[in-house]
Amino acid sequence: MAEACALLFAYCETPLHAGTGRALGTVDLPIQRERITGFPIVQASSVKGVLRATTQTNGADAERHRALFGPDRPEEASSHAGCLQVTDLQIVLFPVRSLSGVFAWTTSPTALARLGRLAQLAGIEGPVDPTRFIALQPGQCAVTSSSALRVQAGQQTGVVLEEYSFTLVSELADHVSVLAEWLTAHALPQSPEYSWWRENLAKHLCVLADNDFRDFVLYGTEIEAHVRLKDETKTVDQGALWTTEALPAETLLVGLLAATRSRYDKMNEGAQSLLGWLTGKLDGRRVRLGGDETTGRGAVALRVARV
Amino acid sequence: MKTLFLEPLDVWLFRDGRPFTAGQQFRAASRFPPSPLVMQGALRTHHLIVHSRVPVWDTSAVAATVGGPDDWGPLRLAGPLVARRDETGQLEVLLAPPADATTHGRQLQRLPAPKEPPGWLRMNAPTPLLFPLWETGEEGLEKVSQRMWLRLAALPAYCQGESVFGVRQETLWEDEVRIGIAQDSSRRTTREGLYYEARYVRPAPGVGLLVSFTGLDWPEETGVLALGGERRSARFEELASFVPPPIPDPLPERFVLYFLTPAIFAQGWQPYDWRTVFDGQVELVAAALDRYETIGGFDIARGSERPAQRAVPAGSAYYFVARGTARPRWSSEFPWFTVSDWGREIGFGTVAIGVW
Repeated sequence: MAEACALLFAYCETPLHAGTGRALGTVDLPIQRERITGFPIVQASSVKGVLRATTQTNGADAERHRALFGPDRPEEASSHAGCLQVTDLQIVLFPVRSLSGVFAWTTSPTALARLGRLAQLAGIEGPVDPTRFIALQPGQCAVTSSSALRVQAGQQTGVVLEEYSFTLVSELADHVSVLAEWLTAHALPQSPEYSWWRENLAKHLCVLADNDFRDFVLYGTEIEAHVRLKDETKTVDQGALWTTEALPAETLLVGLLAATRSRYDKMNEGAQSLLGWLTGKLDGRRVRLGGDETTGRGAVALRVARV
Repeated sequence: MKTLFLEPLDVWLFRDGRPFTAGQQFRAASRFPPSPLVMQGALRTHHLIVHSRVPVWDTSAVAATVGGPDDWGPLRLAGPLVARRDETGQLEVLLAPPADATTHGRQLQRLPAPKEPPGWLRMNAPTPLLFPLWETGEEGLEKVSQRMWLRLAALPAYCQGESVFGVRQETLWEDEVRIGIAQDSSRRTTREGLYYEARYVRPAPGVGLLVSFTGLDWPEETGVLALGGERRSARFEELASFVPPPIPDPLPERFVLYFLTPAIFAQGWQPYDWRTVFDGQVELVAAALDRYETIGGFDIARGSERPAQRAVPAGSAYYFVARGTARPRWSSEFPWFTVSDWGREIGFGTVAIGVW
């Protein structure tokens, strides 16, 4: 084991634009996605930069910070490496508009399998065996028995997300409840203002088949049109119309923090101690990820889960 | 011997050796699979940092634990090899596209077995005349136009000239291009001129690297280690029952050497003397190899670049005929056979042997 590992959850409180800087499709400024699955991510270099800036400090802690992240000054970069490994943030829960219950936190067996793998590396049991949901077919979903997403239409009960209806696989309801409990305990911030989210996660959680989930994360993101006005006429400047993609608020992302002991000769400290210090600085904290932060984008609440 | 299967937690970056400086040359590309040097560095570093209590800034203590910059220490390594899990969870090792292969759809087939050239043929090559691997007159025969990897389990059938299923390279991994900037954290703005682009490798789900080694006391069965550029993460898992492909001993009369990893030879594409590789009388009769690849890297102990060396690429095939009894010359108890003038201890020139 890399001596000490922890799960880093990021809960989006406002839309998050972690951009790619280039576009081939119809959106001018798309978000970062994995090449193979098309799932949204936030690249590790962005995450690490934000963590580094967020935890910057003075005094004795400055040495600890340097041991974790490496030297600040580029000319000292080759003196030693930081002892922290940060992975890309991957999607866990993606909010989708729902006919009942306002919105659903959707996920899929693939997203859960990845979460489970990271949790196992961090030494945390759970959340739920993703093979339980493998039987889900496109057009089917699993929710808890007390879900707010259920819609009654005649004799049938189902879930309607955006304009698509899904039939329930009711025998999976208990597994969804277990998953919701795990996410409430480990993934959501534990501060008082998150009590509504912790209480309602189970009622809004919805597990979809992988293909359906992929379609939502590909086509259900927020697309904002922007224009630039001419000061004199207050009309749109020629050619100054562009679109920006963002992960919607209420998205939940996860990554892994892995640490080894210090390589910095002025800080001879072990991985558990260094990661513990970092956890104390990050857990429950609000930071800004991605671009457009001065227009409110990218406010996320962090949660660090570790044994 | 311990064998690990390594899977990425997101992407990997194994630099191709071209200079890269944000602001000047702004594109960094990754190669895949990485050279054995990368794996040697990652394993010894993990062992040093996680398994030992040696202060990493104490050079002599580090050298006593994992070896110095000029030696490989106790580590003996084979790989890294590309491997993937099939639908049943079984692991299959893949051989880089063989240089002597032809394709028919998804099928791979070896070029016709080399035949002795006619006596009247004379060449001005500075080497003994080899048998041609190319036979004219057969229609529809051409070398591979797409990168097709060969399942190592199918190598015996392939060596016999049978048609076997190949694995298209694009199903194994994809390039993932990312844009990077450097930020001035005091102003929260992009720093002038520090824009770069890096091409990472995104292995498909279930695809990873396999590596076998001895010489390191490695207690964990699973865990995370840093691998390649940017200290990207690899999840490793021990394969308790993995057995390397058997090396025939003695060697059959006609055998072929397939390189699973690059090899570095004194005479470019072959060693100074094949007798350093085999006991007995063995004659090289044909060879198929692609363009050389360059092996370099960074020597962290010295804080400088390693000299770049040209290597015979993985997938190269060397055809031999044994006169009488011949045996592979083993250099250690390690069950993998490696053939390389430089770096064979750490996995350069890891080979599989087939019969043709």
